[in-house]
Amino acid sequence: MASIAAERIDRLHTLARAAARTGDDDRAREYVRLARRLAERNRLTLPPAFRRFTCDDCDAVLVPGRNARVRTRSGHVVVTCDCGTHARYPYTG
Amino acid sequence: MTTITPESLPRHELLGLHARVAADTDQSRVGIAGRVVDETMQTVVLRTASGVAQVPKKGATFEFRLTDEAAAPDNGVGTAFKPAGGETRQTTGESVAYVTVDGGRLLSRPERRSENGVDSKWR
Repeated sequence: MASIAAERIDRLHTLARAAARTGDDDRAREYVRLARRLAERNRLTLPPAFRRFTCDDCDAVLVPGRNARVRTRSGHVVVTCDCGTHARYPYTG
Repeated sequence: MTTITPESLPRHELLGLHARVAADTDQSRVGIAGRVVDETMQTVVLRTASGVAQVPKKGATFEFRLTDEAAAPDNGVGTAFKPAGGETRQTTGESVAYVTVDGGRLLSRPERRSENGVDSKWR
């Protein structure tokens, strides 16, 4: 049984992606901020998909090709948000 | 998977739900209905057919509509793939419930509402 906070984060994630899809970027940001705040207060880990596809700096929901660039470098993926923030994720193989 | 019950609603996520102002101390606000798009400590923001309305929680009574997939967007990408004349989620009558909540019970910051009425473990 997931806690209410975990369920709220899950819903907010869905809502944020839906808002980003319809071009409502600022609304999506607010949903991301609220989800982060909930995780913080309730000591929960955000889902991996949430952590990867939101900007650490400006809280935007990252949509590759629209507001994010995804490039592979040797040993890591670089995701660049439109605000200029890079996030690097290692990979092997 | 995600479940909002009438009991947990005041502590659960209101964003994305459909709400209607059932009663209000200000008569002009009664009947405002739409999707909850934002929430502040003292207000709820509804997207109505005629625009966006910010309704104070204090003094208002809200009627929320709970469906099986309330978090799914009304105009999601899946819409285009539904067969013509097929079932929509609105037609499955038994999965819809209406919950009436006094706005005073929602007076709290959105992120703090989930903790109302819960004993802290850290005492």
